[in-house]
Amino acid sequence: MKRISTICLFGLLLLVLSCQSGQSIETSSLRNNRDIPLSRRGSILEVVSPSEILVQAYGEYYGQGSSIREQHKDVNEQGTDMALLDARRTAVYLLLFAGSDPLLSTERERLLFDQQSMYFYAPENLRRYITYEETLFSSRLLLEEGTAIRVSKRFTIHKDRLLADLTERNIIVGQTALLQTVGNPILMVLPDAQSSKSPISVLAEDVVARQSATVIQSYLTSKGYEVVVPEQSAELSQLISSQQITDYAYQLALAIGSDIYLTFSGYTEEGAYGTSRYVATLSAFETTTGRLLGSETGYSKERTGDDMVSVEEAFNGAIDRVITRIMNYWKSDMLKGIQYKFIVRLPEQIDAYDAESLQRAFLQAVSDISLSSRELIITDQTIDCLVWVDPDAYDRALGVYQALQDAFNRYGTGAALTRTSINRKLLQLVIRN
Amino acid sequence: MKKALSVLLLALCLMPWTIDAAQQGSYVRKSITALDTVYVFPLARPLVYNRWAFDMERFQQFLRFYIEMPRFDFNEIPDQLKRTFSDSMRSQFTMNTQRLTELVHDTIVSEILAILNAPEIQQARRDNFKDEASFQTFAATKAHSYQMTSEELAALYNSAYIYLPYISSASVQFNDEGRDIIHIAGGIIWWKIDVSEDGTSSVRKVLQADTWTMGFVDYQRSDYTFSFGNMVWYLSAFEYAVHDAMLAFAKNLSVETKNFDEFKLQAQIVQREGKTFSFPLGRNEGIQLDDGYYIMGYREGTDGEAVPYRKGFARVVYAADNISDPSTLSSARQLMGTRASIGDVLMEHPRLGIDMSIYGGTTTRSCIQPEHVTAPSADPGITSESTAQFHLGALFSYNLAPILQIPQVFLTFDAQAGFPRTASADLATLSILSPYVGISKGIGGRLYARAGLSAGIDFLTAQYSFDGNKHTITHRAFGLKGMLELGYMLNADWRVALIGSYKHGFTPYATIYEKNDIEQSFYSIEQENLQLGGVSVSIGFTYALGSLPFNVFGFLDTLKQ
Repeated sequence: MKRISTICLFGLLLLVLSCQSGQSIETSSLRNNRDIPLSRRGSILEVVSPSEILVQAYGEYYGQGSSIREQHKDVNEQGTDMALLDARRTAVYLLLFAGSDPLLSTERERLLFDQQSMYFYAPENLRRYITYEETLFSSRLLLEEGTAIRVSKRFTIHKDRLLADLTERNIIVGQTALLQTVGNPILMVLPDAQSSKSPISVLAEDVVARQSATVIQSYLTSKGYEVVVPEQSAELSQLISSQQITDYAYQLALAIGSDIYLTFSGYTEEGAYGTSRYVATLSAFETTTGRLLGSETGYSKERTGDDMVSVEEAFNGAIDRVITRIMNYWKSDMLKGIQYKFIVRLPEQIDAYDAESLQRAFLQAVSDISLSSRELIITDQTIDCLVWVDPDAYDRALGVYQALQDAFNRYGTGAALTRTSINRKLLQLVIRN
Repeated sequence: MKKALSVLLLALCLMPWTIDAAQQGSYVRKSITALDTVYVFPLARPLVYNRWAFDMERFQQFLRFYIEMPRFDFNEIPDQLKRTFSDSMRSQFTMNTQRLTELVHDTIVSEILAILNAPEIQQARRDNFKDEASFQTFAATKAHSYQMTSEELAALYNSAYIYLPYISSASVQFNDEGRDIIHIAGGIIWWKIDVSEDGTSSVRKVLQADTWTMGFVDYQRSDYTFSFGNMVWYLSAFEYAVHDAMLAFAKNLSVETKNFDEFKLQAQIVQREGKTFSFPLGRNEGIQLDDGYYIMGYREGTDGEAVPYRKGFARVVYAADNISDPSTLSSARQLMGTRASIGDVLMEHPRLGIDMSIYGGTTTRSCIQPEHVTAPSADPGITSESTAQFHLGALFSYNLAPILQIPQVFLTFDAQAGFPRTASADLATLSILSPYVGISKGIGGRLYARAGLSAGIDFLTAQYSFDGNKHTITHRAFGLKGMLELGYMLNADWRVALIGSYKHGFTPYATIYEKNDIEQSFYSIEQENLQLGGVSVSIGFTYALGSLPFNVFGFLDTLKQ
């Protein structure tokens, strides 16, 4: 009995030991997979330019060897170089995965990236992405009694090169691909003016607002977006006043026909040691619905003087994050087709039965020409809806209008569908008896 | 003996390396303000305020030279303000540190802040507070804006220091034989200005270092010309000794100041090739050839903090001229410790630049025959020829590398006492005093070799009594000595060495005979074949001095580049 229990105990001990060694092998292999970043710690510091991001990244290396002495030796011999390589990989990793708006935003993109990650983390490609590496370490620490090392440095990553490679390897849908499919997304930039003031007049009068708009427009154009700049005109005023909406920016966007509009605001606040910093807020909206797509705040450094530099610095930080959300929205919307907003006015003096027949016929016609649609408001007098159409079938708003008119006529209501105004996003229509 | 030596060696090797608090990375230039005055405690006033002896202006000159180092920027405050401070200080009989701190705050700080607020000062110093990455930001790359940020301003405002030297006692120790000694004790107080984000300022004492020095009054010298840099002063014997003490005082305070953690030069290793590596410091910060630097590593503490530890020691082999070309790097060679890596930090280990060696050993092939030490009309002092001697010596080596720009070249002053072996029955006691001056050159790392050549005078003194008379015979002979030293660095400051030397002693140029301490005029004492040199083997210990209570080779300090 005693013998059996001894054997059992020995067996149990062996089992525990083998489990432990299995765990350590697993941890060790994770730690020493030399092709992917190990540390994955760091932070995005600043948007240096529309293409470049300054980051601080940590890198780690765990010494190889069966004994602590060997691990020490390994860390001494190649620890710094290997940890530095890990820091470079982590710098790229941060842009790809970290923060609220990483480049890889969907699970599918991440899975695709994982299959090709070695390409991106290869030292020769890292050299292409990293345009600047600080000479000195921000920190360099030995860990775990000298058997591991952690370093940190600042790097500038060329985001566009990284994006180009991600697109080329079909990990993300590139902007060019988007443009080819759904046409140029048109963005409009406006100050977030008080309701009593027109954003256009704010732009005309306020130097900081003008500078802010220029910064955002400059960023967007450098990324290939089409940006429209609203200017005060009689036609525009008329178009805006024809809508019963109080949000001036929304009205403008609809009137102009931008896909997305961005509003911005900002203020200067006092910093330490007599300095000041600029706080910029930027929000992006879907034009057709006024739905908020993303809102971000950017901060400049606290400095003395150079106010316009602070304005640009703050907006650079904000726009970079907002644009990622715009892209994410755009990608998902692209799958539905091209979006249009229809506002239809029905005849005033008809009874409820006729009104309902006209509404049904109109919505049926919409259904015939679109991939999908969504009704926002339906009253006896008005139909307000969103429509997504196939970009291959209809590449212009006028084509959509004509197809809708034909489809509506097919239902033989006896009423005529005519247009009041048409722009890129908005079709204002009237059904007449 | 052998066992004891082994234990001593082991103890020196294991001497704990205390860790100074340090920032990982680089030295940020500090700005300093000199109050151009010295606080003299009541006890010291009788000597110090005697202008005949103590020249306060020259004292301040020495202090400025040794304290106001290239690593600092200077905030010059108006003379009027300095006078106000000085008058307030002197108007009170006694002052304590607390009161001095208050006085500094009330009279000086607002002016320093005004200086730091000046746009032209900020413009001139902004690069000191900007790191490399700050030139890669949007503001610098696109907007070309180099305005200081609040973090940089915080560093500028909070790196201002004020210093005040003080003399706590000064006295003359009179000696019946006319060898008076001047003693000066005192130190230096450093204050740091703290400026909070809202501009509120305060002053706190961050360092109080004491020192004590002395000067020897030599009334028998023919020349009392004291030179320091371009200045030459013709002094009295007493003044000369005071100047010596003042200079040693200022020099010691210089090392004490450099030893303050916040003032220590430090930089990361950015390149490495074998045991030689480069780091971004240079003449702009006052780096000099052969300066010693600890190699610091950092390990993670229990709370995740960076804990510095010493990895080794290195010596500067090339001091870069980063004034004309800021991108050039200085180089240092690792002498001991585990292999340094890129990213390790070099931290200054300030020393005087003077090594002191104590050594002892034996000399053979010298030749002192009985007739060399036989007084007229007396029996010989020794009965047989003495060819061997024991010796003990002290060697001061002043590092000339910062002057000559050749590493490990030393100006040496060697004071050796030799004791020729005689028979126990011999009447005379023989001793040889050998002051030598020379030059030596070292090579190698932790294990090193050094060769030197020196010249000097040997004084052989034989004393004995015969027939109730005291006979003293002194031979003075020139000598020329060649030396070879093989040594090993025990740590940054201590070395142990085996020294072999050959000294050629010339025929004495003078022999003096004293009978009952009265010099005799007519006598004949044999000089031929007297050989005070020979072949010596010694073992010695060398220490890199951090302070020295008297002035040695101080006049050379102004030649350092």
